[in-house]
Amino acid sequence: MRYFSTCLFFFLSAAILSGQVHYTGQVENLKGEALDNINILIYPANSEMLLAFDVTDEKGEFQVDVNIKGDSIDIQTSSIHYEKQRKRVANHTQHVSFKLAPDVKQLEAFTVRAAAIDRRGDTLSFMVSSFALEKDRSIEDVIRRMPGIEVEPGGTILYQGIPIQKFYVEGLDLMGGRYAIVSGNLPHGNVSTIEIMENHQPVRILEDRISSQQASLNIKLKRHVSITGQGNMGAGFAPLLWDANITPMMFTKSIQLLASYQANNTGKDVSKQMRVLTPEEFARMAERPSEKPGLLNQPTPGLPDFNENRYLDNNIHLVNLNGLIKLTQDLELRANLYFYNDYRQQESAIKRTFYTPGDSLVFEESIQGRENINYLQGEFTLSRNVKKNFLKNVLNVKGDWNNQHGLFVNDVEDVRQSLKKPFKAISNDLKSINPMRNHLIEFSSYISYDYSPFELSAKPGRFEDILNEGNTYPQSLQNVDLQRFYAKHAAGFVFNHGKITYTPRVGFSIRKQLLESALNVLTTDTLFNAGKAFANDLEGTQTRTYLQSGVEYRDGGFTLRASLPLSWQTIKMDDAIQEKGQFMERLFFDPGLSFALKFKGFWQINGGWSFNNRLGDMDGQNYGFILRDYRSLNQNATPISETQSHRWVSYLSYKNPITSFFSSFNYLFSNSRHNLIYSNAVYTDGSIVRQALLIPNTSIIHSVSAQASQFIRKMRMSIALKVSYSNQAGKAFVNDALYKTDNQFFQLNPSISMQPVQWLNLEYNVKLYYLQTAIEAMKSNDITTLTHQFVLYTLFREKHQFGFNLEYYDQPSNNAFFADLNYRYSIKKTKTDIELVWNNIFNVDKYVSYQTSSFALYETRFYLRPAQFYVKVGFRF
Amino acid sequence: MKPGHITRFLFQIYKDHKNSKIIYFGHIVPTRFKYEEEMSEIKWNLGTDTSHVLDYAANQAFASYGGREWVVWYAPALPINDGPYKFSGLPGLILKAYDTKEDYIFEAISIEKLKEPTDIEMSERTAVATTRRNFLKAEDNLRYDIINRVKEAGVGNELEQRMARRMLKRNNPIELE
Repeated sequence: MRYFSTCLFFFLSAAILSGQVHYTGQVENLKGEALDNINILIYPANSEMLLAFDVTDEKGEFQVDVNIKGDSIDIQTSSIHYEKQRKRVANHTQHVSFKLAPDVKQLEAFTVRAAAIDRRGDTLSFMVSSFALEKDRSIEDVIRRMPGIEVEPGGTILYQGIPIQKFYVEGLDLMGGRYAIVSGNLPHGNVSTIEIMENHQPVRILEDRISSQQASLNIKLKRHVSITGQGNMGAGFAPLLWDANITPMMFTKSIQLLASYQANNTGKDVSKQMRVLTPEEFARMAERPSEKPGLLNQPTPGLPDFNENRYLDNNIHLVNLNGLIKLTQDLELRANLYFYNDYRQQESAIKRTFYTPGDSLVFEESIQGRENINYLQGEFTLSRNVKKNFLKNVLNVKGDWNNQHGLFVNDVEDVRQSLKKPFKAISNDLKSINPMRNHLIEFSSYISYDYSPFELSAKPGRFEDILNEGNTYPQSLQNVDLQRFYAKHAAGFVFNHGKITYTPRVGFSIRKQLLESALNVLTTDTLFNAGKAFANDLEGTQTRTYLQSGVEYRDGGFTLRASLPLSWQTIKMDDAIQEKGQFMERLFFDPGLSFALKFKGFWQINGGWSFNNRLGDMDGQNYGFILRDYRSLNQNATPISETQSHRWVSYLSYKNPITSFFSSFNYLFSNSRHNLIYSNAVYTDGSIVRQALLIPNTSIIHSVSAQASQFIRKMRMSIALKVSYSNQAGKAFVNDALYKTDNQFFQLNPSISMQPVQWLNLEYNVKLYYLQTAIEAMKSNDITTLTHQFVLYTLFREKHQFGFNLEYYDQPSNNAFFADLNYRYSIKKTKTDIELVWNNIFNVDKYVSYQTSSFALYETRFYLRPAQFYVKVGFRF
Repeated sequence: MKPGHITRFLFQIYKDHKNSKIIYFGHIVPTRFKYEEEMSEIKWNLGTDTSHVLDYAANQAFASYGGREWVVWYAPALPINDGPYKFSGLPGLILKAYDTKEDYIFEAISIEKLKEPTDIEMSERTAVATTRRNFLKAEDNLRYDIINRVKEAGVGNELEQRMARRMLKRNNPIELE
C-alpha cells in the first residue's frame, strides 16, 4: 500500500512540474475501422500556431505531449481522403476519439512559373532560358548543367550516366556520331528547348519490339533559320606558322548545313577528326578488303611514341561540307563531303640491325621524305524510317592522290625513290529491317570496288645481280595495278527467351581481284622488262559462307557468352604469267567462350577463351617478285597463309572509391600456329629479298600487366604504379638460317600527382622501358630508356589559365629535354579566347625511337620541329 | 545564390514511408552506391512563424542535417507529409526548404494532376550498399582525386584539366558532414 502511494505521488509531481499534458486518441471511419496516416494537429484554442503533431498508426491511435498554459486546446485531424475535424478539449491528459467521413480533396493544380523541366510521356523538355547563365556560350555549356545530363571531356553527352545514342537538331541527324562540333558551336541563344527522349528507339519499326535503355537528344530552335558558327585564327613564328579554323552552320526544320575550313602548319593532323568510327564499324571492317592496299611503300621510320605536333612538319588545308535535306516526311538525304591537301616533310635517320645466330648486320641511312596528299571523300545517305520498315543506304566515293618522294643516303650510294599511290574506291552499304510474321528480319548488303594503280621509281636501281647481270643501272620502275571487288550479303534474326538471347546470322561474301605488275629496268641506253619472274597477272577469288550464332546468358552481375561461328571458305588463285595457282577449301569452326562476374561491389573478374582460324589476305600473294620499295624485293608463291590460334584473356580488378584504392591485373596468352614463314635474304647493301616458305612454326605470347593507385587525402596526393611485362617467342628465317627468337619487353611507371592548393595541379611521372631481344636463347641486344615528365597547370575558375610541361628522355644514344608553356586568357564580353603557346623552348632538334621485330631492331633518329611561338584567337558568331 | 543558377543533382532519393526509410542512390566513378537512412534521423523543431507560400498558409520548422541548419515551410492544408530532397515527416507538404546560408534552396513551382496513377520506379541497376558516412567520404575523395580518376579513363591532357576545373565548382556539397 505504501509502495503504491509513493508511485502515485511521483507520477503527479512529474506532470505538475513539467506542465506536460498527455493526449492519446483513436481515429476511425464511419464503419468503425481504424484509420492510419491521419495527421493530428494540436493548436492553442482559436489560433493557427501549431504546437505539436502526430500521425495515427495502423491501429488508428495517436499520442501527443503538449506543454502550454491555458484552459483548453484544439485538436484537428487532416488527411487527403477524409474530412477535417476540429475539437476543442480541456487542457488536461485525456483520450480523444474521432469518427471521420470520407472527403476526397481535389488539390488545385497550379503553376507559379513555367516549369524549367516538363515531362510528356517519355520526353523531358528542358527550357534553355531557365538553365543558361551569362557566361555560357554554346548549347553544350547549358546542357551540361541540366539535371541528369553530363558532358564528357570529349564532348560525349551522357543522360543518367549512359551515352545518348542520337543527337538531333529539329529531329534531323546531320553529323551522325560527330555531334560535338554542333553542340560545341551552336549558341544557346538560338535554342528554345532541349528534349531528352528516354528509352528512345531510333529505328521506328523496332519501337514496340526492342526496348532501348538509351536516350536521344533533340534541339528545338527558337527561330526558323539559325545561322551560326565559330572560328579561330592563330599565327606564330620559326618559321611563319598559322592555324585557322572557321565553321559556319545553318539549321532549319527541313535543310541543315555545316561547313568548315581548317588550315595549319603547326603539326596538327586535322584530317584525323574526319574518321570517327564506332567499335561496331571496326568489327565490320575487319572482314572487308583493307582500306587501302599497301602494295608499294616508302620506307618510313616507325613513328615516335610522343605527341605528333613535335615532329609533324605539315601544311594542311581541309574543307568539310555536310548537308541534310528532308525529301518527304519519311525520306531523308544526307551528304557528308570532305577534301584535304597536306604537304608533309620528314627528315630522319634509320639504323637497322638484323640478328642471325652468331652475327649481326647493321645498316644506316638518312631519309629526307616528302609527301603530298590529296584526299576526297563523299558519303551520301538515303534513309527511310517508318513504322512499317527501315531502310538505310550509304553510298561512299573516295579518291586519294598521294605522291611520296624520298632521298635515301647511306655509305654505298644515294637513292631517290618516288612513289605515286593513287587510289579510287566506291562502295554501297544497304541495311533494311522488315517484318516477317511476328519476327523481324534484318538484311544487309555491302558492295565495293577499288582500284590502285601504283608506280614506283628508284634511282639508281638496286638488286643489280638479280636484275642486270651484276652491272649497276640508273633506274628501276615498278608498276602495280590492283582491282578489287567485294560483296557481302547477310541476314540476321534476334530471339529472346527470358535471360537467354539467341542471335543467329547467315551470310555469303565473295571477293574477286586482279593483280597486274611489271618491273622495268632502265640502263644507260635501254629500257627493258625484268622478265617473267618479276611480273604478275594474278586473278583471285575468295568466298565465305557462314552461319554465325551467339548465345548470351545474363543473371544479375554474371554474364556468359558463347559464340559458335561456322564458315565454309574457298580461295582460288591463278597467275597467267607464272602459270601457277592454288585452290583450297576449308570448313572452319571458331568457338569462343567468355564470362564476366561482378561481386562484392568492388570486384570484377573477366575471362575468355577463343579459337581462331585465319586465312591470309590475297593482297599479300604474288607469284612473281614485286619491288615493294627501293630495297625490298618480295615474293609470296606458297599456298596462302593459315594461322590457328588459341587465345586466353583474363582481367581482375578491385576498385573502391570509398578508400580510393584502385587496382587491376591483366593476363593474356596466345599460341598461334602458322603454316608459312618468311625468309629474309639480307644483302650487303641493306637490300632484302623476302620470300614465303612452307615451314610450319609456332609463336607464343605472354603478357602480364598490373596497376594500382591510392589517393592520400591528408596530402591531397595520389600515388600510382604500373608494371607490365610481355614475352614473344617464335622463329625467324634470315640468310638461310632458321632460328628461335625471343623478345621481352618490360615497363615500370610510377607517378605522383598532387593539388597542394586547390588551383594548382602538379604531376610527376617516370617511365622505364627495357627491351631485350634474344636468338637461340642468347641475348643479342637490350635497350633501356628512361623518361621523366613534370606537368604543372593552374585550375583557376575564370579568365587565366597557365600550363607548363617538362620532359626528359634518357636514351642509349641520345638525351632530349623538352619544355612547353601555354597561357590562355578569356574575355567573356566579346566571347573571345586568346592563347599563347611556346613549344619546344630548348629547341631540341632530334629524338630517337626504337622498334623491334622478331629478328631486327630499328633505331630511328627523328628531326623535330624547332622552338615555336604562336598566338591564337578564338571567337564565336 | 544567383537566380537561374540551378544545381545539377545526379542522385536519386526514394522514400519508403511504410518503413520510415530513405533510400539514396548515387554514382561515384566507377561505382553506383546505395545507402539507407532512418527518416527519424531528421528531427524537426516546429517554429512559430506562419507565412504564405504559393497561396497556401505555411508553417515553419527547423532541422539540423548534414552539417547545415535547414528551414522549411510546409502547408498543413496539403496533408501529404513529404517534401524535397530527403525531407519529410511534417504534417503537410514542404513547399520551400533552404539552409541558413542559402546555399541550397528548394521551392515548389507547380502541382500537377496526373491523368492516371503512375508508379514511381526504382532502378534495379546493381548498386553497392554502403553507409552515408562512407558515401560522403568517397565523394570527398573524388573531389581531390578527380585528375587521377579521369586519367584512369584514358583521356588527353587538356580534357583532364577541363574536368578538374569543373570539379572545382562542386566545392560546396549539400551535405557537409
